[in-house]
Amino acid sequence: MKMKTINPCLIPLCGTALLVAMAAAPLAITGCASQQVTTTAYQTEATTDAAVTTAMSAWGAYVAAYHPSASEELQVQTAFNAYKQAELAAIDATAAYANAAGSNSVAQAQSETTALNAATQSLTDLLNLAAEFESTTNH
Amino acid sequence: MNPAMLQLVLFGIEEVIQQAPALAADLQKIFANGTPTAADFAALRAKVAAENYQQFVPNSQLPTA
Repeated sequence: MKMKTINPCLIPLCGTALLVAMAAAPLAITGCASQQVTTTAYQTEATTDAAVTTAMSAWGAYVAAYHPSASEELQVQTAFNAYKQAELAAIDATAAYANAAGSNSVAQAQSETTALNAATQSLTDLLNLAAEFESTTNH
Repeated sequence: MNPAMLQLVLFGIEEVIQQAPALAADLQKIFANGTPTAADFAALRAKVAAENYQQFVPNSQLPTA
């Protein structure tokens, strides 16, 4: 009989950072001054990256200690690569918004929010996936 | 709680304790940065672009890309 339980090394460590990132993202479409939008978006993206770095470092330690299967590793790698692409798109969108000097700012802010939400969702998927690969015990 | 699960829980707690100071320092630096400049965006993009799975998981069974 196999039993799976939650991996504690990821959820508490990254949960706070993820909540900060998700709370900050919606501010991008409230019509705030462009500078505030840019700052908030940058902080969201940098926080997301810090959270992922921490989560992936913990996953690396878990792999070294418990040797999950290659298929489980492949799923985490796929999720990580998806997050990375979404994060790069979010950073590019924010940088483009910051350089646009207010032209068509509403549409660009919405585009930026879409990219930020995609990066945040990818992070959530990555954390959920890594938390799903816990120790299994055979009885 | 069986011994294997207890071992995993203790491992997880140890990882959290080890990673927390570095994460806290990173978060403090991010929120103390003020208005980001083009150089800040470029640095963040370069950092993310350079990250790869093998960097974080040196004991991976997966083939190196």
